[in-house]
Amino acid sequence: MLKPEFDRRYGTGCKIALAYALLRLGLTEPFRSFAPPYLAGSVPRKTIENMATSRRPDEQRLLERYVVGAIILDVASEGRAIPPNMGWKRK
Amino acid sequence: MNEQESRQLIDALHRYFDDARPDDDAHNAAITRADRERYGGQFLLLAPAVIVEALRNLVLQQTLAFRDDAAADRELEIMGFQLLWCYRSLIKAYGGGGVFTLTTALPLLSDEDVVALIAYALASLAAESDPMLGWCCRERRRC
Repeated sequence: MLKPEFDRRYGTGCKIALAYALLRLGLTEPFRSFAPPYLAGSVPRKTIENMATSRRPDEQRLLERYVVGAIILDVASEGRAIPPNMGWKRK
Repeated sequence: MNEQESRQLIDALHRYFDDARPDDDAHNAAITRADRERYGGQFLLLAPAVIVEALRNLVLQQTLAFRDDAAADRELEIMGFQLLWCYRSLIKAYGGGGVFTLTTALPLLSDEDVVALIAYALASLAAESDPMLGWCCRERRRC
């Protein structure tokens, strides 16, 4: 149900949320390959990738903060808060 | 559902988000019992639209007040997180049936903001200690 939704949705925030739901249900992909470039600004992509597979509670909480922050700002600003040079797509 | 009934449903959702406590599932279940019985799954499906509206109203207020961008973002994140946690609590009040309702409705929803909020709420429930909720989330993943 969630993976087909990830495949057919277009907006970056929506795809990150669906990929994160799949991650929390035990599927590392597509989150690990899709989400890192769009999250946490200056945090290196590799760091986010490692968080996606980490079982450490502190890293999982930090990753959740990045994800929920990105989703909320994307929704609240109708996509305008996210710099286009980061490649965010708005439906 | 006619216009008056729709208005009553939206009003009930506003009351819920005004009165709900992000960390008190029992309280949230109690204050929504009558509305859950009256509106069924509609109450759950329309709640994300109320969150979107609340976030955009705050953005408008921030724009008018011309606040520091970083502080404004932080304020949005705090409010958004609290609203999402209240929404998560509402889904828990519906139990496994709530998860089923949302995952069944996802393909039919055209508003990607609403889909994003539902997906995040479901993600936050995946590790829920209630075995029924966790099981429902995992089963729905496989469908």
